[in-house]
Amino acid sequence: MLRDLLLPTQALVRLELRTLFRSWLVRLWLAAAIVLSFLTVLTGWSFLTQPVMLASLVFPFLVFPWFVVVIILGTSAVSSGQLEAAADGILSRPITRLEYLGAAWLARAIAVLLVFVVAVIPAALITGLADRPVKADPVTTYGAVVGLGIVVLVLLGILSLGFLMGVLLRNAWVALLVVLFVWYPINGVLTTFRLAEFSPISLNQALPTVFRKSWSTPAASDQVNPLDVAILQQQADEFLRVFSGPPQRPERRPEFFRHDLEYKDIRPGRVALSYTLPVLLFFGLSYLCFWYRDL
Amino acid sequence: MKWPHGEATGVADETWAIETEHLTKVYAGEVIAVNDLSFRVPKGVIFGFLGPNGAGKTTTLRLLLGLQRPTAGRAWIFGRACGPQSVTVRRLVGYLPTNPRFPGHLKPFEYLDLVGQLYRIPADVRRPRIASLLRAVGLLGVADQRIATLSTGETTRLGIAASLVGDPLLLLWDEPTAGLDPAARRFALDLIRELGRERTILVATHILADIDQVCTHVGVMHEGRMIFCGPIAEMKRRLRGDSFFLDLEGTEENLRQLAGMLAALPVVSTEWLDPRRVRIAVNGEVSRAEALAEVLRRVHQAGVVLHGVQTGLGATEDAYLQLLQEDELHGFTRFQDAPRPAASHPGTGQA
Repeated sequence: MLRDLLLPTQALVRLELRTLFRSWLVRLWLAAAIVLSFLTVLTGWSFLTQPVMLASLVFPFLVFPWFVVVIILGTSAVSSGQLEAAADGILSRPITRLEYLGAAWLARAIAVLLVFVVAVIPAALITGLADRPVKADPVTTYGAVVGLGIVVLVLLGILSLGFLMGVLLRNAWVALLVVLFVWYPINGVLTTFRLAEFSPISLNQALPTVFRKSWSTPAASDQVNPLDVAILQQQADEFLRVFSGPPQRPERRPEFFRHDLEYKDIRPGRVALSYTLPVLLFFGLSYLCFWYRDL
Repeated sequence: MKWPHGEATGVADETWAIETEHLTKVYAGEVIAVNDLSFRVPKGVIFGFLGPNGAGKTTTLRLLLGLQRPTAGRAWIFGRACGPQSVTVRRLVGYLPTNPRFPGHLKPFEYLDLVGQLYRIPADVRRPRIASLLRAVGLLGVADQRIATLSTGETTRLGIAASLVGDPLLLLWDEPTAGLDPAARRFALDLIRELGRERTILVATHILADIDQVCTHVGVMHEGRMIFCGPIAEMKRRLRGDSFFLDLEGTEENLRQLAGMLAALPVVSTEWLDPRRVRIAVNGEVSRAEALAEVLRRVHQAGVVLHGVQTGLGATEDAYLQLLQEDELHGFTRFQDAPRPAASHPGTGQA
């Protein structure tokens, strides 16, 4: 009974996944993400402790450049060109708009998570299991689950924001520009309102602390380690320098990743909730827009 | 089969395959695509949905499928209300869009399998059905090719197969012969005839020859309105029923003489379409045979050679064009004649 009920959604998710992994965007992204993880491992092999290494591996997904790909995947899900074909071939069949929209979102979420897992997890396992010349600083199971869970939620939040804008604005590229316009200054905006722990950059800086946490760790140890922040900041500067070329004035330091001094701790539960709610909200609003749309 | 004349009750009636009541669609508050459309399609007929480009045929189909929301009015299919959430309606319908576009990277079997899953058909029923459908529409030879590599005709055949996967009671086919070569067109028309024995089929088209060949009933749309709805024979009879055409050959003098003789005949009126072709309309109580005999006698007397006599009964094209012409001429009276909500009459689109 339930299987029959879910049959259309399953079929649509399979179709969307197949379409996604046949696209050059996802294939190139997957390849580039693996290469970048490899380079990160290579450059930090001898000095990055495991929690910081993990945070470095996650950096391209949370901060730059892979979040742009995640947004593109979201905005292109239900854009006007694609919708015409979907209306003729799929939505004229006995399925609800919720099933179609849910399948489109779910397929993209699976694709994003698959790329994330394939690019990050093997590298994390290699660096974790290998005998590296760095001081022992283990990642706890609890910390890994919570930390990576938060990253997954952030990725789903970004995807859902792109998804909403794609549905709302109908044009994938206009939607991308709007989301970038909203997303880029978000770190500054959140810091202004003393909500820095929700910003992707601050989250990335706090991840080493989360990775070290255990079930029994007292709340006081939510304090972010300034040394981790400094190392990650340096890593980010190096990374961004690769993208933008060497600085013209050597003494000038990039300010993009500068740590907010007022930001001291991270509460994973609060952060998780603050990203879960937007995911639900964005998807709900997407459905509302889609519900009223003429196809 | 009885044609509807009753008043709309606002309650869905399962005796009709399709029923609409004051269906209206206005885009962006400016473009009226469908204008107060009320009509009914009986079960088990092949219904030709005629109209020039932009008449509102495709919009009407999309409203029936729930792909678009009506600005006003309602529609039912087999008594069930149409709308975006009307899964039960779409389960009863097989839709073939104009120039269908399908996922190019899939193979025909894969696409039909996907459609079968959307209809929630179990695999043990779905797969044999798809295999037999592929055979029936002649796509077995290209079953292992990607859809992107199929020709227009093959893509349309795939669309036809997709519309049949769910074994629906009603088929809504939008321009099924568009872009097809003569052989593929013949195939599509034969298939419509064959399927029409067991199902209700609505064929939207502006190709009159197709309608003439396969349809039993016809609805003519013009500028968003239904200007005729009824059996195709009735449309022809009403509009050109008592007229026929003569193709003639003769000198200018003889033809002029014949024109004078025919004008003097009280039983017919004439309209010269060109110097060698005349339309004869039968007036009054005389039979068509008697009028034709009188006319042919005058042709003989005038020394004009008769090349052919063509009855007006088969001329769907003329009937259709006359309908459009009359609709254009009505102008503002259309609004005055339009049914009011208080006393609505689905099927008042009938001429």
